[in-house]
Amino acid sequence: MSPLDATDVDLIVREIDETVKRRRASGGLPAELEAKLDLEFARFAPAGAGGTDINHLLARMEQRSHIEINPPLEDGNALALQTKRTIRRVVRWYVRAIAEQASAFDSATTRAMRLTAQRLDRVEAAAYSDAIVSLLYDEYARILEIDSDVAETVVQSLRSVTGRVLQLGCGDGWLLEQLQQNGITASGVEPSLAPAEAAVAKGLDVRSDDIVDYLAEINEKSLGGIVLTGFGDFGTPAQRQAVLSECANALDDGGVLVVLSAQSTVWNEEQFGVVADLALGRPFVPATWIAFMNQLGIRDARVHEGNKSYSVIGTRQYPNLVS
Amino acid sequence: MSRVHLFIQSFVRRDAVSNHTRHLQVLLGEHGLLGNTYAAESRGAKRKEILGLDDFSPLKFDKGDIAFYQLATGSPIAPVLAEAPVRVGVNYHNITTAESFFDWEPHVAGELDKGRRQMLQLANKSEFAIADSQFNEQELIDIGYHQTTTVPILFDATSFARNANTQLLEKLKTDRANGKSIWLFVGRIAPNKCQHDIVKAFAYYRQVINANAHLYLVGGSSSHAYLTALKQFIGATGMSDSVTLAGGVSDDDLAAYYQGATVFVCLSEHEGFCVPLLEAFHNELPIVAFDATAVPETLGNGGMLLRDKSPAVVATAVEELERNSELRGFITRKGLDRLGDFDINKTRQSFLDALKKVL
Repeated sequence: MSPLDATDVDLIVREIDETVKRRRASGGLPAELEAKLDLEFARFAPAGAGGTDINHLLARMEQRSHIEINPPLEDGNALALQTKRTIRRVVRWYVRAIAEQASAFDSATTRAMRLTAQRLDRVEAAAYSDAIVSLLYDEYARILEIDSDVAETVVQSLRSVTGRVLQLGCGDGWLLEQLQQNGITASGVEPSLAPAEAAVAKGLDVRSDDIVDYLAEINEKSLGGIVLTGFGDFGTPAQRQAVLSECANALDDGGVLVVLSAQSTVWNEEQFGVVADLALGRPFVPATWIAFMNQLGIRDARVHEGNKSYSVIGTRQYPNLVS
Repeated sequence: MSRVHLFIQSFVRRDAVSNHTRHLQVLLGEHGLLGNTYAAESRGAKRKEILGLDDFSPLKFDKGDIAFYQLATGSPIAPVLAEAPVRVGVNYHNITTAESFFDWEPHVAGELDKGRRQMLQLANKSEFAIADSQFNEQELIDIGYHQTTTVPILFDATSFARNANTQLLEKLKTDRANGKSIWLFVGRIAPNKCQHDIVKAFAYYRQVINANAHLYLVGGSSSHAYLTALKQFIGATGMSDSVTLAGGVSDDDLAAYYQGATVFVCLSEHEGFCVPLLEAFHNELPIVAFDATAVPETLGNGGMLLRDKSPAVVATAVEELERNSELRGFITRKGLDRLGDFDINKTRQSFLDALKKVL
């Protein structure tokens, strides 16, 4: 058996991530224990320190909305203890009157916020459920077709890249294979489980993860290239711009960003019916991507158009801050 | 010959920046380059060794002398140096982000925020800046510092080869022999160090993987509110007997913890360098760490670097490390290799080279 190397350790860590994810999904790990621990710590943390989940925050506001008028009296000194007791007894009527008004106000405020949050949940659920998003991802991963000449342009554009290349929305790894054959170190992320598993079965370095969550965890300036495949085709313009912004942050100076998209004309074809119905938006024309890229410091964008798809390839350029 | 005068906010014992400053004093002294050392606060130092900020006067500087400021927090030193007609260089050890303290200790957040503003204030005044990690150097570059370089913090591993507290070490060794998993983290109790995440992962580990386990959190407190919440959390999870908040400990106890533990777990959100990783390397203690700020840079290949610190992932990583002796051996070997990169003879020379360029 050959000795371990650093890549093996990285692989072990990735395997741990994947194993935990699979075991959580299958119920093999007690996911509720993690949530319980989060909530338990949140009980003792300041309201703002528990993250951005609005339901957690509201629960903690509700816990704190009642003002306790009996502060703790413990004191090792008997005289101090007696003094505290006396002060508490004397001012209790006054403190109680104020505390009752403050508690009533707090209670009404948190109740109103709770109702607002519930209504927001209903609005969001009516607009877009996780099940719809999952169906949309699966369907798009199945039908998205990138022309071979467009793919070839992408491979060529990444040949001279230094640093790791990441493909977001890598499907079953068809492009990663081509990149590897050309000596380019590349890994992928695919939100849809079946194609991700197919890619892993081919021995490719692919994770099944939410693309937005994954992007948020990447260190700034840590990548030499990013290929955004199809993911930007069906979100709102703001969602697409946000993903592009995360990509711009993750790219090193001189890093290459590739947007691979379906041509908007194929969107009307029969096999795209489900996707077209479920999507919040349609594929951009290349000029829109270029406009976004320019805003985010990704320059020299060039377009390669195929029959069913196109690529927009730009270079991340950071301003020179050193005088 | 021009001299280097050192400026530090707090000169105290068992503090990474203070220890670094002591090493700098020795290094500069050996080469006839040491001027005075000024501290806004000092404890346990001789008056001759450390001067107060009130003792500083530009008139005491010879032409070409440099004020070399150890920047790690907000300090009255920064505005003094910004105004003084002297040459200034900055040795940047990182300032914790104010956000991590804002909900816990607003006044500390204010100090940290002040430190960041002072850092900006000194950007134009500083002729050069030395950061102890590339992560820190990038922060300097991003806000406009020029002539920057990275030289790791001066850390002498041999000074760590001290006698461990034998009683404590024997207890830990006996526990290990009985199959106990012993988790260790060393660092001040502070929101950015995320000891609460370690406790969560440890609770998960005990419930799902191995109940025979103990967690030692070593380090004084930087936040009373956070420490209180941590204690309440530990109590609420029924782990008061399985988690020890050791506080600040003696050097002998610290060595015993490092030598007796089975794994070092670091889940910090913000570290500018993370000296305890070097101490763990030195003691061949395998590391599981979260990929954040300067941690991956300091860690190199000397540990398991996690991109997800959810309790299940951390607990599973520790389990794998304990189960897989080949992995454990590889990581500790790589840790020692990595420690070699921070060998004090190398870092002293790098520091000297960097300073001689500007003198």
